[in-house]
Amino acid sequence: MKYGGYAGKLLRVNLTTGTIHHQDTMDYLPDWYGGRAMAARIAWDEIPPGTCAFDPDSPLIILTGPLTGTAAPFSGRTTVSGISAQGHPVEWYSRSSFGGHWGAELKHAGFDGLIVTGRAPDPVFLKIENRICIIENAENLWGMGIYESQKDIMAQYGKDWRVFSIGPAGENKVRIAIAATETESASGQGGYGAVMGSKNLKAIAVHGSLPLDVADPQRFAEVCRLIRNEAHGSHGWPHTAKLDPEKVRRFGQRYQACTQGCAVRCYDARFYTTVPSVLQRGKKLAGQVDCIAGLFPGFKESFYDWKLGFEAGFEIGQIANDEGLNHWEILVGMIPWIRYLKEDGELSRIDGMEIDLDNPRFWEFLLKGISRREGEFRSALSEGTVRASRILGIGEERVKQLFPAWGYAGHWDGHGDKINYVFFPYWIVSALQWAVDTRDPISSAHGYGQNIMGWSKICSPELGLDWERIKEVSARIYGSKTCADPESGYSGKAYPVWWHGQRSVMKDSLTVGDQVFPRIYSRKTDDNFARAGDMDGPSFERHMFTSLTGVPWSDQDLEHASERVIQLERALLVRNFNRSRADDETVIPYFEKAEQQTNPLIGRRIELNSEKFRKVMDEYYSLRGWDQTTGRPTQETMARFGLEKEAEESNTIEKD
Amino acid sequence: MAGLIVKKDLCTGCLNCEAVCSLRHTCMHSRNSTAIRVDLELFSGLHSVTFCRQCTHPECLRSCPVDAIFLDKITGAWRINSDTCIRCGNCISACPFGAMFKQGSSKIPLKCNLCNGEALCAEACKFGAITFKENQS
Repeated sequence: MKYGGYAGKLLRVNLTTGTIHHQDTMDYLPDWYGGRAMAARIAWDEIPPGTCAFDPDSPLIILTGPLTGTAAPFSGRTTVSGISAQGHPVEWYSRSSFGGHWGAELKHAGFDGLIVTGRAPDPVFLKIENRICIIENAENLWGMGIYESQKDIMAQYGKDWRVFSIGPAGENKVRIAIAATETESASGQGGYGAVMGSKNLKAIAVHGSLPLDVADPQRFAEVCRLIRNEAHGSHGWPHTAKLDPEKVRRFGQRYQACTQGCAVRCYDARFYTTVPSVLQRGKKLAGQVDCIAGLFPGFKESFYDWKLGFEAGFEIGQIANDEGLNHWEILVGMIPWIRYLKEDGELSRIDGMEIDLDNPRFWEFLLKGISRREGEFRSALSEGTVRASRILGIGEERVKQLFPAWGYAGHWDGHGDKINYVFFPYWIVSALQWAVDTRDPISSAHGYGQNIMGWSKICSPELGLDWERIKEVSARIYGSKTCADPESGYSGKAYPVWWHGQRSVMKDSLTVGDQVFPRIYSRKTDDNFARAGDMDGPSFERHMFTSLTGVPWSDQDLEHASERVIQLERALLVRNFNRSRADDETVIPYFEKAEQQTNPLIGRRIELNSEKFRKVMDEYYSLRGWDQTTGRPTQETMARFGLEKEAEESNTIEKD
Repeated sequence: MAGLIVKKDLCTGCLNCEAVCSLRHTCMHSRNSTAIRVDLELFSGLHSVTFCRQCTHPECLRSCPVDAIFLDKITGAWRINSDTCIRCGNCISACPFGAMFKQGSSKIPLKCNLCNGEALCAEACKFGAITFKENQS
C-alpha cells in the first residue's frame, strides 16, 4: 500500500449472486481520500438515475477513513452512504455515520470499507476476518434486537468481534431504522438500517489483527499527542464535564468513549451499568446514553416536559436502540408532533392506546409497534413522521413546524428543535446549511452555531468568552468579525456555510468526530484560538492526515479535495434527482416563523426575512461556483475540480 | 519502583493507550504489538486492562533460563535483552497477569518498558485510568 493508514482493500459483496471480490483502495486515492469523499465517487460511478433505496442494485456504501482506528484522537468513526430511505420528498443520495469500535476493527480485518449490492434470498450476515469474508446464514438472528444479535454473534466467535447490526425496524424496512453497534453507536439518520434490511442483511461482523502502516510514525505520534492534549470538550464546551454523584451511586454512571480515540470529558456521553428496569421488574439494565438520548426521561420546564423519569427514560432509549429506531426522529420530531396533535384535539389514542407521554408503557407500545409495523397509525409512522402525516391525513401543518426539510426533524435551527439554544442571527447559517443539504446537516456541522453559543457568556457565564473575543477568534477562520457577530444580521453568513461545508466532508472522510473538530476556540491559549505545537487548530486534521498517510497535501489541498466532494455530490443530485435552487428554497417557510429563543442584544424574536435570505443564498452559490438561478455547479466550477466529464454528464453546462 | 497505576473503573474504552503503545513499539498500528491491552466489555461497560506491574520480584525474571530480563535502573522498568533472549516463551507463561505477549516465534516477547520513562499510554489516557509513577531511585 502506497499510503499509510489505509488497510488497502475494499470489499465488494453482491448478495444476489453471493459473489465477493476485493478492490484496491488505491483506485480512489488520494483524491477521494476516504469515507464520505470516496463514497461520493463510488455513488457517482455506480448509482444511475432512477435508483431507489430498496432496489437490490442500490449500493450500501460503508467506509472508514485513513485516520480510523489509529492513534489519531476521536477517529473511530465510519460513514454509511447510499440512497436514503428516510429522504424526502424523494429517496435520494445521502449519508450517515457512526462511532464505536467497529470501523477500527474492519480496518484491522483488512478492509477500508465495503460496498454491498443485491438482495440475499434469505437473511444473511457477513463474517469478515483478516481479508476473508463469508456470507453466513442469519435465519436465527432475524427478529432479534440489535443488542441480542451482537451478543449472539460474539458468543459464537468471541467477544473481541465487533458487530454492526439492524433490529426489527431495519428488517421491516422502517424508514427511520438505524443500523448500530454496541449500545449507542448508530448510523442513526437516513434509514440505512432499512436499506440493510431490504438486502436481507442482518449484520456485519468484523475481527482482525492486520497492521496499519504509518508514513511518518514520529511526526504522527507527536501530532496526535499535541492534539489530544489541546482538545477539551465538545464544541462550545469550555468546562470539564463532571459525573453526577447521585447517578454514579444509584445507576453506575461513568464516562464512556462514544467512539474509539475519544480524549475529552464531554457533556453527554455516559454509560450506566445498573439501571433498574421499569417495564420488567427485577431486571437491571446497562447501556450508553449519548446526545439526544438524554432527552428520553423528559426535561422539566421545557417543551419536552414529559415525566418518564430517569429509569424509564433510560429504558425507553435502550428499547429504541435495540429495536433499531432513530432517536432524533422520535424525540425531536415524532413525539412533539404527537403531543401537538393531542393538544390540538386531533388525536387522543394511537391504535387504541391512550396517548400518555408520562407512561413508559405507551412509549413501548408506540416504538415496538413502529418497528414491527403494527396497527394502522404506527405502521404509518414506520414511514417516518413526514410521510405518516400525509398517509394519515393529519397534522401536516404541525409537521411544517418541526421538520425543516428532507424528512428530518429540526436540529440547531432555532425553530422546531427546542432543545438546542441558538438565536438570530446564528440560525441563518443553519438555515442555509439545511437548504443545500439532503439531510439534517448539523450532525457534521456543530462547529458554528453550537460553538458560538456555547462559548458565549450566555451559555458559559464563568469560562465563556465575551462577544469581542469570539469575533476575534472566529475572524481567523472566516476572515471577518462579522460572521460570528451577534448583531450582524444577514451579513457574513454565507462564508461559514461554505467553510464548514468542506470541513464536514473532511470529518466524515478522514474520519474524526464532529463534536471536537474543527478546533477553533480554546481555553488553553492566551488568545483563545486553538493551537498546538506548530499547528493552528483548523490545520489539525491535515497534519494528522499527511503524517499518517504520506500524501503530501497542504491545508489548501485538503480543503480543495473536500470541496470537490461537495461539487460531485451536488452534480449527482442534479443528474439523478434534478436538484435545483427551487428545492433549496423549500426550507424558507419553516424559518419564516418566529424563532424559539431571543437574542438579548435584539430583545425580540426574529423570523426569517426571505428576501434577505435569498441574497445570502446568492452569496453562497457564488462562493461555491453554482449558478444563481438553477443552483447547479457551473462548467467552470466543475473544471476547477477536474470534473469536466462529470459536468457534461450531469448536464451542468450552462446554456446560452 | 516505577510503574503504571491502572484504575480500570475509570477506563472509557477509548483505546488510546493501545494505539500509542503500538505506534511506539512497532511504528505502525498493530493489534498484536501492544504491551497494554484493554478487554472491552461493551454491554456492561466495565472494561479490564492487562498491563505489566513491573513487579518487585517478577515471575518473568525467575522463569528466564538465560537471565535475559534485567532492570533498567534509570526508568525502573524490567526489560528484555534481545541479544540474550532465546525466545523460549517461559516468561509469557510465567507472568501471572498475562502481561507479556508473544509476537511470533522469531521475535522476543513484547513487554512494557514504560517507553523508556515516558509511559505514553498514561499521557494518552485523559480519564485518569492510567497514571505513571516515575522511578524514585
